Amino acid sequence: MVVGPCVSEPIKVDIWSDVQCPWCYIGKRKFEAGVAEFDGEVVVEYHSFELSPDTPVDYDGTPVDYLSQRKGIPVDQVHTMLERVTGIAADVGLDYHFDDVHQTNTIKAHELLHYAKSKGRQLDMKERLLKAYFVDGIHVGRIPELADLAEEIGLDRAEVVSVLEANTFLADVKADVALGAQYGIQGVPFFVIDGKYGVSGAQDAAAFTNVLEQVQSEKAEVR
Amino acid sequence: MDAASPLMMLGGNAVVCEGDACLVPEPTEIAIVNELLDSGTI
Repeated sequence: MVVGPCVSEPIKVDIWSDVQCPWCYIGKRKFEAGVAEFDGEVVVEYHSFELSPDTPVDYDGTPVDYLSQRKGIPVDQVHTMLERVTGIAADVGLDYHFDDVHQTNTIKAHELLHYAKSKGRQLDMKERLLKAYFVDGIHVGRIPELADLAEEIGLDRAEVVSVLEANTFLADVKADVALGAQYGIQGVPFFVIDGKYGVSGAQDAAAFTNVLEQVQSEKAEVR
Repeated sequence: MDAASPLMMLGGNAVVCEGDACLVPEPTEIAIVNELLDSGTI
């Protein structure tokens, strides 16, 4: 999948991210804005990272319940945290609704992202899943809802149900998680650029542009 | 991607999510030195 104008050898960017990571969606917007200002070609591939693999698919509670009960953070402080993130998301054009979020396990969503990659549609699927979770309040842990979202972007619903029920892409998810661990990735979003450079976190757009320009310059010197 | 090589870190500190928590990591000594160099302090 290619983003940006084609004027030189493309730069590969591998992004570790989770569907239920609020800063991953914000970072995605900032990264895209940075790429838009970059005079070069960028090829993006998303990789799986599970922030909370022990969360049940049907967690019975709100994100506020989840954070206060699991992390012991006072409820007032959780509300303050979520209001702050919601405000920052709004600054990049994202309308987060934490009251509607269904806290869940994202392993099936990651499997779906690998299926979508096999069909050349990973970027569209990633965007749809993040929007579903943070903006639309759609459950992204269960196969029927995931199949609906896949169908929305033009993927074969029946095939999606089949591969998710069969865990066809589970090994690919685990391989991504293992590779991330090899890189020492502990938090997301995390960007690996040209297989050599690491950028951690939801950086400002200009930071992404600067890094891409630096990598492009170094690649030009090598040629 | 098959095998991971050590990465050279670029960019500054920014928010990441680790487990259930999202935070800005403490600046590393290298990052602090880079900021001082950028600002002309040293």
